[in-house]
Amino acid sequence: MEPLNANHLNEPVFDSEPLLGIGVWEEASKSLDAAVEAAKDGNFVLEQQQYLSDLTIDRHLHVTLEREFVLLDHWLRDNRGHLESPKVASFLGRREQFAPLSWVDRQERLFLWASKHEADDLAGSILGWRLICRELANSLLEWAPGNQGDLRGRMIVRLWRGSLGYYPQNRLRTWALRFLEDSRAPQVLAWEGEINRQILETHPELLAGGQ
Amino acid sequence: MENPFNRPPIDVSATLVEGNLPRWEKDYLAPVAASCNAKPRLLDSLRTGEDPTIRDGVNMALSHLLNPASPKDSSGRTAFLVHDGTGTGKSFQAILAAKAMALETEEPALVTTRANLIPPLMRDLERLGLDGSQINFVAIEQLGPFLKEAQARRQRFSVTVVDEAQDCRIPEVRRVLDAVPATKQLFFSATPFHNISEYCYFASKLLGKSIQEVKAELSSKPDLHLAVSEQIKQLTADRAMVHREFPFFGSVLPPEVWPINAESRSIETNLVEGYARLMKDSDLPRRRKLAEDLDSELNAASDNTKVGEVVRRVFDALSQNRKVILVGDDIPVASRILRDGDADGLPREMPGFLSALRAAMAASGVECSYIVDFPRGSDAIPALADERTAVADQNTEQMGRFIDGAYRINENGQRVEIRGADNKAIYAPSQTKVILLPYAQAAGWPELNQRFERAPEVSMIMTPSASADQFIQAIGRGSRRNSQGPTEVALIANDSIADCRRLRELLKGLEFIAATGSPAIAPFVRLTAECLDKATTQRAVRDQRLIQLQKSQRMRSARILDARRPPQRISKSGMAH
Repeated sequence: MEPLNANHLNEPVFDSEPLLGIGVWEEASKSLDAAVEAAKDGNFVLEQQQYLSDLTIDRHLHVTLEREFVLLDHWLRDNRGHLESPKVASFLGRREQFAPLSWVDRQERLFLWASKHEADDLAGSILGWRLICRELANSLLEWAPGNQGDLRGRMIVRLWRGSLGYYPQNRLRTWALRFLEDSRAPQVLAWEGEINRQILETHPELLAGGQ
Repeated sequence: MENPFNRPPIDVSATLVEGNLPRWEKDYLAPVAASCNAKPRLLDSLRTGEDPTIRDGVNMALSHLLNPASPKDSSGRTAFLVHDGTGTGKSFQAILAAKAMALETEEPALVTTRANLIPPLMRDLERLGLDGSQINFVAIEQLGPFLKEAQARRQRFSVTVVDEAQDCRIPEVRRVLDAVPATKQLFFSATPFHNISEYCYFASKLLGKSIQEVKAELSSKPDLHLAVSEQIKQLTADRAMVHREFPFFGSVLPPEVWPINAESRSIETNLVEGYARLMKDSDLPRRRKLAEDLDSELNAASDNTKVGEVVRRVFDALSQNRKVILVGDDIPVASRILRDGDADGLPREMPGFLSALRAAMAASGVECSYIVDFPRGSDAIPALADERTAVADQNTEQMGRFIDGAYRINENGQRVEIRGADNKAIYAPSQTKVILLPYAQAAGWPELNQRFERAPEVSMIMTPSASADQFIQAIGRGSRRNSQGPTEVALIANDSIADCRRLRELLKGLEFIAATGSPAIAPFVRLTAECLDKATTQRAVRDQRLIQLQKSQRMRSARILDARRPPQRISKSGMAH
């Protein structure tokens, strides 16, 4: 019943910094504080502020991965014959599983719907998905501080700001897609794929329109 | 029973280090003076009165914070924790420590807590006869913009005083507190740690180690609770924290565990087997939720067998002129497995426990106040804020009906106490004598304390909860409902799967809190342990009897079968055909 928690790499983590000449995630961590502060509203209570901060972080992570994809795409066009180009091309293949940014904000709608329709099988899956993502995100938060020499751990420590997120599936999705080499990552995408399939089959209206 | 609130609270810290708590040497409160036109009586009594709780707390905190040898966390900050129970005067200590620190260092102090708690702090400042000079009261919610301005002015603070520091469980609160330009942090909380993560945060601050180091240190020990106890003892001996609290004012009734009947056992079996079938064909996320739903169904099935017994106890209490606080879950369930007996075969619906009690009580002509749980996620999701406010208003009104004392509703719809010529609150009996409180609301129910000697004594009837935090919050708040009289607590449990599981979880949580040194929790650790022991023993004996019964039934059936079977022809080889 437990998600796969073991730290195991199926292949080395892909690092774009030597190719791009900039640390995309490093830069993202520097701009995160400002983004979170800008989204805060002193009129909200602490739990609401944390919620808004979590969503800002989720969006920031998503946008950063998107930026890394774009920069690598440019790099690949300019460096077709480079020794590393197959690796880059393979990394860019992950874009196929990259959901639009609106998916981050859609989690609220899914959660509220599921909370009101608990007897529905889909609601059970949506709420269970959140619970299981919480457990995995929690184990990653525990694991990361001792693994900051690794891009995977560093991203969590610097960009998750000590929080699982209200909808942990958001930050887990970005983390998993970025570090698909980690044996913990594929299950995250598989859970999400299964939830998407169920929504499309039974309640496609939940995916319609923006927030 | 003697009222323990008439005496100073128990000095848990002194007990922990067997009385070897080093005394403070400098009285930092001495220079704190009331403003010129204020009456200094209260302040003077705190400085020189027979209860030294407040003076000791302030002096111990400042001695530690101002000692250059005290440990510093990774950001170079020294911290002190005042882990005092409710009613011990934490707010006075917070204000006085801020004032004393500002006087000592000639730098202003910053006092922060939730926005709604700032006005009561300001009222306490006034009661002490102090002015607000050299103290900045800033709501945590507003700290971000405040610090931006402070940074622009290059403003520094002598200390960050955090009241209700249990809010440090929220990651953004931790971050913003570490952004304050102050090298000292003074935390006040009655409930700073309810689990290992919350404990590790404060321990890391007080020990000057990273959270990971603290966790690694604790997990290297064979007994986590003992390791936490030892660490707290060390922190106390090092004068990094202080802990005083009042004992539980009341009595705990001896544990009684009711056996569930054959029908309930059969329901349990059907649920467990039914859910196992559902889980078999489900993916991981859905299985995770099904596991949660199974617990809810088992809980509801177990709790619904208690309605009759609880109603009987309520009537007993009412006949003795007591008021009753009933605490339990209130989660209605439409079963995924059980079906109604009628032809429709629709999912069987079980009302939430408290709703069932409310209906049973109403049928007997007893009206109850009824606290409703907030919608899930409404504390955090702004879109649910209006719904939450409506529920909160309704709960405040319900609570008001349960509270003794005369009051009127002012033009803003607020409840205002009516006071007599002597400025004392006027007594009037409450409209309801029974209140139903869901565990999910244990920390958030509107508190309206009554302190009338004439008010009836209070009985609390609890059902098992898996959350030690909610259980203790409910008892703590309930038992303070009438601080003039003792509270009687009864735990109603049975030997169902649900109660065995909830009691096990509850005990685990209570033992953790007990490891942090709370004396008020001891009777409830004992009560829960005894209930769990009884429940599991009863269940084991019953299961054993059931196995024996099944065995003898099988043997009897086999004998009957043998008797009915025609005699078998034995072959030459001796084998039956």
